[in-house]
Amino acid sequence: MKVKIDYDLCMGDRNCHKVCPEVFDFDEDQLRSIVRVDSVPAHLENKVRKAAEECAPGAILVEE
Amino acid sequence: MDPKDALREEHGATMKMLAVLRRLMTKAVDLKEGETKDLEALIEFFDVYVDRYHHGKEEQVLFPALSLTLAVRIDSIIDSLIKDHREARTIMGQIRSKAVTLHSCSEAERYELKERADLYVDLVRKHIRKENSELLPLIEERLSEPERLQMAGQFQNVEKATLGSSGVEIFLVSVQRLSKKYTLQ
Repeated sequence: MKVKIDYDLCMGDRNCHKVCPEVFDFDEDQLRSIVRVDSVPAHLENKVRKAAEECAPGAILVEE
Repeated sequence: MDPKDALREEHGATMKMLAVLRRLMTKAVDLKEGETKDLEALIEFFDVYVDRYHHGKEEQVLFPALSLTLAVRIDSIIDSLIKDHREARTIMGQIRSKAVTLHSCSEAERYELKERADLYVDLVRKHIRKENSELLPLIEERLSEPERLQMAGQFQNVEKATLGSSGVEIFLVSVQRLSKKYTLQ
């Protein structure tokens, strides 16, 4: 699984970081989320899907 | 709905419409008739849903409630957010004026419209990130459950006063339609 963030939509509420801190980090200068990994480890895939579902503007793009 | 969740959802809808506005304005010089109507729908969304309804909830209910908690730095954060609201209101007024006379606008005036829209998008995006990062966490940190329940009721009053019986639904349909049309999710 690959995951990326659409920065036009990321609203910086840190929810993805709370749901899956192993994959999502937060840029304190830009106040928006960033992805920490190239590909998502299998055991974290469900957490990443949950983060994407909960992202209100739909800024998390998951490629299965 | 919990006040923090309600505001967060509204921020999400606003981010989607900001992305639509930016994409639409890449064609500002040559907007077709349908796109002009979409611009009108966007202006209605930012004027009514964002400014009157969403900012109304923040300025009439949330900011005064948080100010009473005397949290450190809260007043300076609120001052800066209100300043953003005013600036956004001014820029949207300029966009509205240009949009009304769009059919007779010169190419230079259409570029000016795009420049105003870009300014608005940048300002409101930054503003939302600031609120999500610094302000919304304070709702849970500083307000008790009964206070949050009371706030949810006050939010409903603002909704009735600003949107009337039609409520938010018409705007959410607009978000869905325009996001889809301009190839967002």
